[in-house]
Amino acid sequence: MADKTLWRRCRQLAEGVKLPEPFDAEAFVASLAARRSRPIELMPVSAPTGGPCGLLMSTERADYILFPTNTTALHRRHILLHEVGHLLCGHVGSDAGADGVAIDAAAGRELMPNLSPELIRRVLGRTTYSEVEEREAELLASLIAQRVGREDGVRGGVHSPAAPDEQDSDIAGGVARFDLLFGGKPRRRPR
Amino acid sequence: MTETLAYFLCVLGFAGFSYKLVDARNNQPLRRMWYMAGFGVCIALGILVLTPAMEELAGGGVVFDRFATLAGDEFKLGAMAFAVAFVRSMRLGEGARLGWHAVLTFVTLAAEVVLYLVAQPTREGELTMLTSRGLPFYVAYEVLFLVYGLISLAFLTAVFARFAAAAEPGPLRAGLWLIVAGVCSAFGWTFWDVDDVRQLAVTGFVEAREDVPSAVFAACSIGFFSLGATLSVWSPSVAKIFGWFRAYRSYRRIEPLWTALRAAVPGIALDPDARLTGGAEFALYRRVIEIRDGHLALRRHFDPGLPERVHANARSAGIPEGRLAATVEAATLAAAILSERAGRCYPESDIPPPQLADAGVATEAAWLVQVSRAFRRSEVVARVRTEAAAELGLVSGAAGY
Repeated sequence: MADKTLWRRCRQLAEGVKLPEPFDAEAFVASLAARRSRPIELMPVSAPTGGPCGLLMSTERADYILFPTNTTALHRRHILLHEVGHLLCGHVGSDAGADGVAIDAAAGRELMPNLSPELIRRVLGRTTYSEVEEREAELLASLIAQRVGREDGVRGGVHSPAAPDEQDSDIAGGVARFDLLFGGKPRRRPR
Repeated sequence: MTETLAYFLCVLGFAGFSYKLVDARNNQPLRRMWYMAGFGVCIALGILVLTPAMEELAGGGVVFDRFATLAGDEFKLGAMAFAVAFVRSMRLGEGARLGWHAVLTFVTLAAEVVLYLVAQPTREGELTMLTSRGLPFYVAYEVLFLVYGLISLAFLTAVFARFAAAAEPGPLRAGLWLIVAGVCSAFGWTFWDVDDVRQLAVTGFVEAREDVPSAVFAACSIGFFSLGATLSVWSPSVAKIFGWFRAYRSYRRIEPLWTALRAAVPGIALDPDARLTGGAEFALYRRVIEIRDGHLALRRHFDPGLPERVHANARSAGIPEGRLAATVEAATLAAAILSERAGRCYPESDIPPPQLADAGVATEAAWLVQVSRAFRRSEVVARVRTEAAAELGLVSGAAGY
């Protein structure tokens, strides 16, 4: 897939997906699960060395997102978004190659030893971006994170002050009147 | 040139003020709109009437020569009066009465006219000349102007400063402080007349037109007023530009750390040649994530005993408490990169991530800037690198560390 096409597709997906306001990764995953009518279970794990730093495992019943606890909050959120990106893109994990599948499956067995291998339909591990599906999920996660940052910034930067009571003669009333005149988004005065 | 520039800035200021006036028509009481409009019109005419262009337009007739100064000063007094009425309306609400200041204004306006007419100043070229009989009246005229200005501007400064201090941090507060700066410039503009009084007392004449310092004070005053009043309109765009610069600066500052990690773990880079594709904020986000990916990928090469040793060394080297954790992280990564190159792994090795205040990219980037700076410049980190290389049998030139 050419880079431009990849960017265009990921931008469309990132802009089209519904995000909670303010953004919360767990609420986002819960709403996605509700829309897909299929449970998504988040499993914080201490990622083993040498394995992928995030994993999406799917069974007939549910999708499991494994993400590491031993990293920063921003990185954790990004890894979670990456795995969600696979779900949004409808990836099946077919292009990881024999080695990639083996590494992901081994990591899955290590992290979820009680899950029978026969039940697993799909395993996608976040390792490198040499495969198209990994690149796409990573780019989508980054674009969603950028949209979250942009929308949080807009919410934090713009406010619409309420029309002040003109009878208030205290300092708060004065500040409210100045806020309406100078400080906020223009708003029509109630007649 | 300075005068022309100052007048040009005045025009820009008036454009901003007019915009705000039009913008405010839907959400402000009618009386307050009149106060604002009155202030704008009076201050514009007060400046305009004493400009060389106006004099040329009027053709320098006797009436213009005799009364231009009086008209200019009366308009300035009017502007101060409207500003005070506006501020009282903002402070006390729509129903605020004009009060004592209105009485003071009417008395001052009338007294100024009487004093000016009695003084009978005449115009000779660029100068306003006084006879010895008219001089005391003209000095009284100037002093009354100063006293009125002192009272009005002190009131405006006190009220605007009080509201600026009470407002929440943000565009409103910044805008109110800009208006306080505008009032302070107006102080300068008004009190530059002290120079006229001094010149009058010594020579018996004074410059008829606004001089350069007056024009500069006027431009600053109008400029600050307009900037403060329209801050909510332009501050988001300015914040966006500053945000881009901040992101780009952080992007460049974490480059040494990112470059070293990418060389050790090439797979962390989503697009090694991308540079600023997607914008500075996106590029910064990618670098932060890729550095954290590199950190996780190298964790099997972390020497578990190293952080404690680096911490002790950094303390004894006099590194401030606030930079210790970043220095430890930089040293740990520097040693892990060399261990990875030499193929040395440590079982059950991990270094806990820093406890940052929030999950924002700005917070994490600010932390990584500190780590990157220590990674590149800290002598403690350099010593760790040298010792690790010697222990692992890496030669500096050949190993390229």
